[in-house]
Amino acid sequence: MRHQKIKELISLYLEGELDIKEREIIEQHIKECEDCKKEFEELNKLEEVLKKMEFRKPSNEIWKIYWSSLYNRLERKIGWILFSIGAITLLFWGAYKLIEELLKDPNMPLILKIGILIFIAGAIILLVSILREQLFMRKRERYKEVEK
Amino acid sequence: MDSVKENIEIKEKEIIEQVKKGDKQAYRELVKKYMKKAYYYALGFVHNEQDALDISQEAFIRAYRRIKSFDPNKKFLPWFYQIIRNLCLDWIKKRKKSSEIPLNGIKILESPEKDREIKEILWKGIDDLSIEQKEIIILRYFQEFSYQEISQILNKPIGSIMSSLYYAKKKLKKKLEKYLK
Repeated sequence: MRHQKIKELISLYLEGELDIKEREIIEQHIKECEDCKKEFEELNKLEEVLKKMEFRKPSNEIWKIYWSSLYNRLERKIGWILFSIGAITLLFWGAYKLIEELLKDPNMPLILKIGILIFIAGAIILLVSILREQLFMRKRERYKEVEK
Repeated sequence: MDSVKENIEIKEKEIIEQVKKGDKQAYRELVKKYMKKAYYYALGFVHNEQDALDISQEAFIRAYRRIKSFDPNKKFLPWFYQIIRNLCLDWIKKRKKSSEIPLNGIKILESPEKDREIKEILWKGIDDLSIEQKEIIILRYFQEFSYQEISQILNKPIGSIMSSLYYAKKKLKKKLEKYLK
């Protein structure tokens, strides 16, 4: 068996992932090969350090309030979504009414009517563009540029 | 043992069916089951408790909103890990370099002096690994998942997980060279 393969198996040996037969092959090999023996000893020490690493435990309070704080956030998010949909509906309705009034008003100068219409059209284009971008971003496969 | 595992899976499937119908109490059960795993997974990437808590909760919120598209015949955890993983990657992307982050979520400070030094170098080494290698180290050593489970979570063959982990260890071994002799 090639040394590289043995070295990969040493890592699994130390994790207790090998069966008896494979373990015997490794044990026999490291008796005969200095290089692999060195690899075994270093990986063994690394394994010990890795096993000692642990995350700091947060206070128990966090777990007690985890669900309630999550629930509040969930509720607030739903609230924001409904609020946004309502605001957008009102905004479109307002814009529609404004355009209707503008076109009907014979006293308003034409240049002002055109200016307001362009302003409203610009605002609607911006809004639709942002919404479209958000929808597109959700569908698109993200992180393909991130090293994996 | 297998039948116990099977019963747990059936129960989880039932819970998910209820969540799909909008039952928030059922979702509470699911959250309680996986909240620690979610928190510690995020902590492995972001290294500070508040952000890990925020990310883990955000992941549960997104999972709830997308639960209708979840196939109940599949396992919840691998699907959920994809959501939390994306959130962690977003977080890293915003910070550019995760190694600039303080290590206050890792239990290093309480260690004896030499241990502390080794652990600090090791943790920085873990941070320098590729996203995938780092993820495998977190799942294997900090969350104690089996290769089979990691393979399901990352949707990759076991052999490739084993190989990635070996090369990750090789890199870490190099960083810790003087301490391992």
